[in-house]
Amino acid sequence: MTSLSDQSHLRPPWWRNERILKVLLQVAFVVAVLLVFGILAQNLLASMRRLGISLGFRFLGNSANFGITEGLIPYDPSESYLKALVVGAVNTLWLSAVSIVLATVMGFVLGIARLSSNWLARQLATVITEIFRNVPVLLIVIFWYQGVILTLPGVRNSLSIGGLIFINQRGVNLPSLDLSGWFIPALAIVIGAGWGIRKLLLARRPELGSLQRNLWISAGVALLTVACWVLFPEPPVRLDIPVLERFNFRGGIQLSAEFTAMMLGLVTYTGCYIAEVVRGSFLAVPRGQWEAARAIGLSELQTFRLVIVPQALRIMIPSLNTQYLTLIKNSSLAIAVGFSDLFNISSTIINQSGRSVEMFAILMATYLTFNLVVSYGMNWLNARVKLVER
Amino acid sequence: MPSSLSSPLVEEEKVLPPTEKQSPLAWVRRNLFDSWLSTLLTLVSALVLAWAVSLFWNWAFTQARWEVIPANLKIFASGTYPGSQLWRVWAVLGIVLATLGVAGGAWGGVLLHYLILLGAAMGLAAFLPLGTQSQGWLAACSGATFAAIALSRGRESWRLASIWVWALILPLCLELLLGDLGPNWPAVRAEQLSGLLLTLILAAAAMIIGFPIGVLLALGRANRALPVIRIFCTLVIELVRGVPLTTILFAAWLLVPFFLGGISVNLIIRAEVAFILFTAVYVAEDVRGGLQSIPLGQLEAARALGLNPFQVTALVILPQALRAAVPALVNEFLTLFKDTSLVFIVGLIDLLQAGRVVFTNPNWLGTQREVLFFIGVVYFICCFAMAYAAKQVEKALGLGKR
Amino acid sequence: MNWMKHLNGLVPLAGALALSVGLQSLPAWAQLGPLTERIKARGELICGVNNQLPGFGNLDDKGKYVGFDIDICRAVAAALFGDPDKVRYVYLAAANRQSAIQSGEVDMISRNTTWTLTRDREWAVTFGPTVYYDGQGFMVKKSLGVEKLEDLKGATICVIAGTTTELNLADTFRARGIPFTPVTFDGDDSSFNAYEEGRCDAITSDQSALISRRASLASPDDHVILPEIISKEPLGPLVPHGDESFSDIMNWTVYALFYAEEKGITSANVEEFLKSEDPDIRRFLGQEGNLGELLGLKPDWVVNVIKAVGNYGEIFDRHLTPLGVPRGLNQPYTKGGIQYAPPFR
Repeated sequence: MTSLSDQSHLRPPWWRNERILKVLLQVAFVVAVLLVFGILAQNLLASMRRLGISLGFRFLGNSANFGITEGLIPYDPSESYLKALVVGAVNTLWLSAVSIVLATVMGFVLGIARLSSNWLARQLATVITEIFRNVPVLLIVIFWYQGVILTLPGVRNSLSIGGLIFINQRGVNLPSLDLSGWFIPALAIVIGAGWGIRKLLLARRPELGSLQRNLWISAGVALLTVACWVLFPEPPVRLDIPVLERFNFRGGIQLSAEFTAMMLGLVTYTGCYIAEVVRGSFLAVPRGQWEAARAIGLSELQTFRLVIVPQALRIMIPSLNTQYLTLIKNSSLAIAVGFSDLFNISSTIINQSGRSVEMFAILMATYLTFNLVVSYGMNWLNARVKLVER
Repeated sequence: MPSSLSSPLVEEEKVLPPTEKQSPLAWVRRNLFDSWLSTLLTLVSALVLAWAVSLFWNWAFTQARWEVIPANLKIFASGTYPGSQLWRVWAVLGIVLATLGVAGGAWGGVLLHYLILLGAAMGLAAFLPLGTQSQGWLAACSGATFAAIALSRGRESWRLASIWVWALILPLCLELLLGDLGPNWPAVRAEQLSGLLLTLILAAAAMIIGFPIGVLLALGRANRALPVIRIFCTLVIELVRGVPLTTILFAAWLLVPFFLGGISVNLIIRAEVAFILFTAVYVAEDVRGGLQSIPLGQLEAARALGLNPFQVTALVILPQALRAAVPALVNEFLTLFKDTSLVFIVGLIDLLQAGRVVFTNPNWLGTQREVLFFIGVVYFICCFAMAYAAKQVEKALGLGKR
Repeated sequence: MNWMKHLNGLVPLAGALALSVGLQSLPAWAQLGPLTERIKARGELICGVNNQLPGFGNLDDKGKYVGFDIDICRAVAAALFGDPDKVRYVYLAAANRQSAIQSGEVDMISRNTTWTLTRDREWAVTFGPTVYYDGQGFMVKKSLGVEKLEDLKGATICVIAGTTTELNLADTFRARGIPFTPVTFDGDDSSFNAYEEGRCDAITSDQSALISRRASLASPDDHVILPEIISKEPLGPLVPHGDESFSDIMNWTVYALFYAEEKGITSANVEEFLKSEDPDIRRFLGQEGNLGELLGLKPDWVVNVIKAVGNYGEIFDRHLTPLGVPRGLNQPYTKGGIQYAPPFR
């Protein structure tokens, strides 16, 4: 841009010299920004002095003293604020991870249904996506919580699915797999045996087809698995089914009403946005690609799997990234239903300790880190997909 | 799956070659029972549909207490705004509709259609038993809309004026809503703005103020000649985009007072600043996308014509970039409109919170589904109308067609 | 454009900043602190209150704030302005109290708030005299057959976020080794609704709140309040640090309510007491001496307060007695309670 003025022999006076003006403008800008920030910082310090409070992060070591409804990692009220924050961060990640997976599944199903040649499926998918995309996510979350989950039967009249899964107004109780100390030996035996049988078959019966060989291996593995169950003093894996005690269910995996509502809300909202992304990406693959693939004799399944999906994925990934980041940020709405995520626990800590400035810094740093990590992961995936395609 | 994907380009806008007339049976066979997969899909969809419809039907016509909606219309619409001063809200609504009517008449298009629809709907609503005052105002608003449309119909010379006049109308509306208008009409406190009224004010102000700031941020970020400003803009955009709106609102509510050194700034304004900031950075990213789509040749050509950098930006680059960014911008504004519901974080009562106030009221316990359904419908209508209008504008601009 | 006055923040930010720098260099007022001056200039007191706790603070069917805590705000307004209606009420969720007072959102809080050392320091506030001595209790459904805390082993318990009850609950159950699941809600309404709908087996709150709330449940007789009290909950008003003149006004207004009850002065007979010859009462009611002047108030400020809201006993009888809340510790010391005002001299 400056080349024009450089080449002209008539040097403009300095106040019309673009270069000098630019430098001056930026210096003025920096001074103005510093001045504003200086005044703001001074005001902050003055307010702190007036109220007699100080800044610092040492309070994080104090004992938190409040209970947390649920957490993936064990927590006791006698532990520190820092530990409570970690519980909250893990809850945020857990909620986000589950929701991202389910929302992606839902998005693909709806998105592909919207492209289907089946009229009814297409219309149904369109109506669903339009409904959820045009109302606030907070409304959806509150609806799931207060309109659906809290109106379910009470804990003593839970809806039971096959005696394994129990659904009531306090959430969902799922059976879990309990691994005993015998799990690792059993796993080693089964894998070793499978590998041994395969070796043996390849050496002794090379004439067998791969289907027959796999059948033999499966049979051997199945037999051994049953043997482990019967012969070991304790079964290697046990199904832990929730049992109703005096007040609540115990055992299995418990998803609280608040977690379930948040998850359903985030999944239905983001899922519909992902459906739109999926649809757009498939539509963006040029039609010629279908025709060309067919022309070289690929079947429809092959065309879809080998030609269309890789290209659509490539188009999709940046938009999916945006959706995932939005989902993580929306998970902070958990405070509206009382799920103990990072934001909710931070606000409790602010309230109990009065450290709003410090907690705000921590919140910002944590969410920025989450964002960076997800973006980095998606960029890595993007690079991978690109390599596959070219 | 593949067979159901065999014609993936079911795009509405595509002009398809004329097809031979089909009998309904042939249509059904082709669109619903094309293959075994398609048949399965049809059955599953039909089951889902039947289940959802019967569930809804059963609830809506046998259990739901719909009387909660008409009984609390005032709370949904204007929350805690003093009832004796309600005429001010009506007057503002009338003024806004009339101004829009002038614009609709001058510009025509989808805006005009919406206004005719809105005017007609209000005219019809005036016959509902809502009390004489409300009915009168509804009729007056409807009349004002149609009068304004009739006045300006076809006057293309009024087009620009219909935009600039807002600079006058907006302060007037604020004055009408909040001002001290004499002994019988004392000032209304800003915190009393609530319900749908607050939602609309928050969203409109954030759009109007956030948009230019966003454009400036985008230009700052795209400017390679001024690295300091570029870094500053990038930093602001990325920092704000990286944290949830809840956190920003929280800061506006809790932290800002510390930084203002004892000056008290109204909570609504602090929340509004958070929304403006949030809108601005997202707008900035959309506009940046638009800027990147402008070929370098445009810039070079403009420079060659002897335009100075300011003129290049204002007359050549920005108009094209904004045009390219229209779809993304509309999405942003839609998101913003929905995200105004997050003001619950700072304790303000928007449309959604007004709903929560209603269904936690002991008289209306157990009506959360009805209330949330109604609020959902209101949001849906607003968002859907905006999205539809945006599509029309997109078409009119010929985006994606070049 | 007079809406500028009402949207007092519409001042451009830059102007605000410049002004703030300017304000800092102003000399301190000789008698009244900055907060009192600001309130007087504004012409109304901004009081942070509850709107979901019948008896203490809620909205009546005309949308007006009423209750025990509300009357404390009204009393302070009467002392400041001679008019109990010059109050603007701001609803605060429990978890928002600290930020609202720190940021200057409200001038004072009168919202069933427990006085603790941490709050005193970390919130940077001054607590006024305790206006209600309370304790934390539990309410459960009768059908569960719970009689003592130990029976709540494994139960889900509803609690309001950001309260001392949240902390006491964790402490007590930990000390006794009773496992439980807390579910936190942001307000009285949402937590009591959730309890009633069955989200929790029990709900914990201040005893007075349980009594007043139980009365408004669909079938009060299906619920019992456990006799056990697990904590001390002295509830009182509070003001921010930094203006002793305002905290003094708050303190002595509350003491005036106590003192009036001790002396038998009520809103009905205060006019007669004005004719009293008792020097103590003459001083108290501003007929003699300069007590009002010392606080920066009018000489007859106590008369205004008593006329507006009555004495402490009247306030209690108006809001809490109808709900079945016993006076208990909240009697004047002369009647076996612990409410006690320092001498007015």
